[in-house]
Amino acid sequence: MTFTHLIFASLRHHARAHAGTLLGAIVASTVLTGSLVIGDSVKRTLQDQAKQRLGKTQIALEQHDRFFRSDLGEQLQLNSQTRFAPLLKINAAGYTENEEGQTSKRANNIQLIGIDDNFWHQAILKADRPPIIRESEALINPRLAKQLNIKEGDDFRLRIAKPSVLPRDAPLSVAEDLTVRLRLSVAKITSPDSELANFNLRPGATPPYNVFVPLSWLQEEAELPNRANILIGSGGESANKLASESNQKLEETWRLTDAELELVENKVDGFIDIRTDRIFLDKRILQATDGSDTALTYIANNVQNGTQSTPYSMIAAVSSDFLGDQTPKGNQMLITQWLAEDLGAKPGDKLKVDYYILGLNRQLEERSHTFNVKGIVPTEEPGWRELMPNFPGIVDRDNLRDWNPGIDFDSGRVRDKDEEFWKKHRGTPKAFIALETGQKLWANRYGEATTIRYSFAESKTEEIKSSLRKKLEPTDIGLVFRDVRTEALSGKSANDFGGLFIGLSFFLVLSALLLMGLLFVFGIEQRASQIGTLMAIGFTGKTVRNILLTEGLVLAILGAGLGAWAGLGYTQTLVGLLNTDWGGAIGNGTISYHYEPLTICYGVLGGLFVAIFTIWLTVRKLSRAKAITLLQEETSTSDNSTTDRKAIVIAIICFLGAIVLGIVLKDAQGQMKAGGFFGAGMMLLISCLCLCHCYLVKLATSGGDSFTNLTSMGWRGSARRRGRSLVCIGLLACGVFLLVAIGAFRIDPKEGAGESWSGTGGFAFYGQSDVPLLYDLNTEKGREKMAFNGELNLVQLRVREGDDASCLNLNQTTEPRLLGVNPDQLSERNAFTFSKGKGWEVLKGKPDNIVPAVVDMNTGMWALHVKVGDIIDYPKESGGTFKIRVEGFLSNSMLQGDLIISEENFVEQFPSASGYRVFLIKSENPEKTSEELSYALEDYGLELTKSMDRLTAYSQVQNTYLDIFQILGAMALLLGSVGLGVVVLRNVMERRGELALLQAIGFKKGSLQWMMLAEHGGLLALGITGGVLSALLAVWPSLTTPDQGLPKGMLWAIIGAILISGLFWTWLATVIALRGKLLPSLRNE
Amino acid sequence: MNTPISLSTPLLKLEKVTREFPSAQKDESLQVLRGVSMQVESGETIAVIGPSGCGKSTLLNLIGTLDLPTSGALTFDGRDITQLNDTELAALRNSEMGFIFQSHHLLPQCTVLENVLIPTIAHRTATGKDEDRARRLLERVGLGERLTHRPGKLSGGERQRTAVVRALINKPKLLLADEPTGALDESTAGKLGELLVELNEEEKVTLITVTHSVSLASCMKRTVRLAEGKIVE
Repeated sequence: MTFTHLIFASLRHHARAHAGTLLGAIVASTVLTGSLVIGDSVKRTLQDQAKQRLGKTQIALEQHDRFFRSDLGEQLQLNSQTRFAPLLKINAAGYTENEEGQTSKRANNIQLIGIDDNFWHQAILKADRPPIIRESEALINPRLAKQLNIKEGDDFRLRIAKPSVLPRDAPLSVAEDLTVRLRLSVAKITSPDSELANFNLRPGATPPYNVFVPLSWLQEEAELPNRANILIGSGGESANKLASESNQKLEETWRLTDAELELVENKVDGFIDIRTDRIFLDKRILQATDGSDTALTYIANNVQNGTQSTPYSMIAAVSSDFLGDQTPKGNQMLITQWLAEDLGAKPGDKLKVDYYILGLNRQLEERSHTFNVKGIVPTEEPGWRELMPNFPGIVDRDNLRDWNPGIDFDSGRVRDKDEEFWKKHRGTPKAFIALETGQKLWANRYGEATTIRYSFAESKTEEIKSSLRKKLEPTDIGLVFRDVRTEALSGKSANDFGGLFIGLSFFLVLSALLLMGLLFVFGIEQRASQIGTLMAIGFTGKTVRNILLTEGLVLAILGAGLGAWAGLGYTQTLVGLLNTDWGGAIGNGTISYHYEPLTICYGVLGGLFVAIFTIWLTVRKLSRAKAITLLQEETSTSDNSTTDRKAIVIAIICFLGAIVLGIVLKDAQGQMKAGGFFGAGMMLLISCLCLCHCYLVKLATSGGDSFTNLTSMGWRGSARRRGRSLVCIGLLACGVFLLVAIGAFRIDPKEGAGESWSGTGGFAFYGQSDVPLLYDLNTEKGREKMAFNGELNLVQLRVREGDDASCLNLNQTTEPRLLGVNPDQLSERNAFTFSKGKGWEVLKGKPDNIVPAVVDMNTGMWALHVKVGDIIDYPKESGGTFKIRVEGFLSNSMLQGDLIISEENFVEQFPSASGYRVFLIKSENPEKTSEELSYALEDYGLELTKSMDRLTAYSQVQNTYLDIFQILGAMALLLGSVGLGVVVLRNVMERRGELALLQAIGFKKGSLQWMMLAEHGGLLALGITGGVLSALLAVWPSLTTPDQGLPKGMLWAIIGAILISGLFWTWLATVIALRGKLLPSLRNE
Repeated sequence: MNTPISLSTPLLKLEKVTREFPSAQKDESLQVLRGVSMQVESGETIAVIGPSGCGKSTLLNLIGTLDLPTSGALTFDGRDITQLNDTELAALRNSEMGFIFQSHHLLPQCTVLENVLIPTIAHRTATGKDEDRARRLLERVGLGERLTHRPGKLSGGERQRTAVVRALINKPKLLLADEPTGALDESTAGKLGELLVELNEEEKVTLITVTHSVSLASCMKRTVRLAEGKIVE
């Protein structure tokens, strides 16, 4: 005889009693393992998606609104294994036309990617050779083919924003011919598995629309010869190492042209100029060339001396050494002979200069400045005409009257002598002023000079290049490779789905464990006398407890093992539901089923732990139990008065705590208020349970009160086994509490949809264009420029592309899309509600050199994992990063997925990002507005989405998770009501003798059933009432929030379902227990 | 009160032992034993008799260390058992005492032989000698053919005889029986009474039995009568 023998003999003998315990352990382990494996499935799905979108790509150098040499990659080859491919990626809108030439199908947000043969080294090709594309042909991905309904050989059209080295918002840039139409025919629809159909450097909620065309052809069409804006690389030992080695190599191989700089030698006139196609040389370049002659040349609309004036003249602001001693200072001006003659000006005269300044949305503002004529210089000296930068619309014009300078230009003001000057002297400045003064007037976010000039000497050019390359880092101009593979292939999701589903299934696990514990306790109660005997014959309480624990361990191991196996089925079911009915939770994407053996081990261990812990909780008191008590078949005795007092004290403390919390947090905001009230609700729940306990104790001990009917007699019975009764009440109350409380968090996007405080901000549409709009459509002039007739009320936002950080994207995002907005425009409209933060005003300024930002609360909490006050490092255009501090959370808004900063800060960090691409549009007549805007901005690839639809899509995610929680919670409550049924069955079985006696003295069986039903129906009523009251307090803030309310229909449905289910199980258990003849039970007594 | 005069240390000695239980009414307690004093010498057979509720079973539980007195002294084999902790008490019950209850309380999952051997594994490992002794004792009580049977297959008398052997397996000094024949018919009860007396002699074990049965009490050499919590004769 050994302990092992005894334990296994017990397990065999009590197999039926243990079946329930085993079932509980299986359910707990099933749910735990299944939930964890969901995490594996999501991870594998994201990894597969990452492989599909990256192919072999390990690193990428990506420039926003800047371009580098497309052969840069060739010079980077680190070894025979590494491969680099230059890409030219341009946003495009696509459409097909019917026979009448009308647009039939549209697709916006297309990635038009120029590729060369190197691109195919990044793909794992299954065919012998890569797909071939010729000029005007395109490879498209299946998603686009489906959207445009085109197949191989079909034609389609693309409209692209014509890239420009000179930012469209820059002063004197031309804002015409912004788009280019391309006609393409489909060469092939690419395969996602082998031809990188879904190529994308950024993880997204859905695969992109991709069009691949020959790089050289696209460069030609976009007028960007030998330029690229993306360089991808592969073949490194590891992505991280390759990125590091490539960045190192980049320091040797980058050239000034990659920074859009050029050195122009003029041997004849003896100078070398540094210039840029971007017109303006920024501060970093100036700092790298300190000590050199610097000039900033600008166009004056008018130079006036009294009544005489000269139109459209170049004026150069020059540094102190440029003209030797003559160089002007302060407000001094040197004028050329030609100008002096034209204006009749002489030294000492005051000349008024008018010029245009370009505002944020190309709003021209004419300003003036008065200069004192210091002296007169010749009309032209060598090297002066080269001071005019290559202003587009000017530099290539033969006649001055043909200028198209991107400012209001009145050719009628041009005189013949002006034309003559242009022909003879081109852009030679007609006047010179001090550099400092010129920079005060004309410096802008793009730069502070137009030319840096050195004296010519042999090999000087190389010397300058070398010096510049030493002083400038590739990172300074945004030339930096980043590892795009490691994180993508890690399969990290925005949220830990394993943990999430454990959270969602928490109540189901808890119910299973409570049921398991209850059944295990019943088993022990049945064996009370045996346990007492063992203790009487010399076993210590501890030894007996350990024997029972070991029995439990065997059951737990078995349950955990079987549960892990069943868990895989549970995962498959959940994956199936997530891909269909619950698709809203994952942005209607698709996830594939996958499991890792280690995860199953964790599931088994988790299931084992919770099962053992539950069993330990049920048997832990046995070590203190008395043999004599157990021999009398009682498992525990308690001092009612003490526990009663304790319960009253706890009830009072929790009740007062709930009230205090409610009062204190009445005026709190956001999470604190919601969390606080949830805590208050929980405290009220505990208080209710304690009161129920006291009531049951009172029922058990109040011998004096007599009962007058069957119902009260039955009700008295609920106090016999208070522990069991309390478990039932607690199980039901917790379930009802959670289901009702969670129900109140559902979002109804339709509620208050038109109001400015709502998630739509009161805007009718959310618009997004592929081509940026440069003008303010709120102004008549802006609308005129865009050929839009009618009134418009909208807010325009600038866009810096980044990851979609909305809840529709499962991937972890580190670099969300950035929007720049004028905060006044949103605060004037009282748009959106802040759950945290002081409104749109927080975006203003840049305190502590940190850019303030606002983000939707869901995006902040779940995608970016930040709280208000947190600081995010964000890459800036000029290389390196800048700091963004989250200053506010928007409540449930349609602006999910983006970080929002002020336009002022936006343009400072991203000067090259021209125009506006996101539009929040108000409208009294949505249909008309939609029609008119879509027509006017067709070329811009404008896609209008009804704000309500956008908000609904986001709300659907939260609501689907709540659905899942409620469905799993309902399953848990089902288990809870099964538990109630088991308790009823057990209670009735234990009391068959007593019931037989009642039958013997004349009670009908139906009366006995009613009595038992009344007893347990009371528990049901207590549980539901306690749960509902506590939940109502917990969700009080939600009930008083304008955009939320308690779904009363759902609340009644939940309560009704629980009541019906509970009564059904109670009735069933009573009927089963009382079936057959009761009277023989009297003899068994 | 019959108190044998002995020069040696008594096996069991109770001095002014009382036992009170909390009552439903607060501030009051129910006094079940009121200053019981008695001595038991080794090898004695004692019947404790008295009306229901007089405290017989409570007395037996106190002697068997299943319960502790409210006041008074209780020594077993010279040791004050009120000073022992739960583990020491369990060890004492296991090695020095044997229990027979009105209900046999056999473990239904174990065979007759296994049930008998259970006390041997409480504080040590069962040995071959234990099994030999169990077999021999079971043979002795007429259960040699029933070793592998489970309790459910035994008659009431057989179950109680198994319980008797279980009580004797660790060679206890004291055998305590609480209404051992209470659930048996007259004939079986008589045979069990005889068996207990025979085993008392064979195993040199002291026997104290609580009973309502006059015939069983008559088998014992000494009778202690309890009334209202006191020994009255």
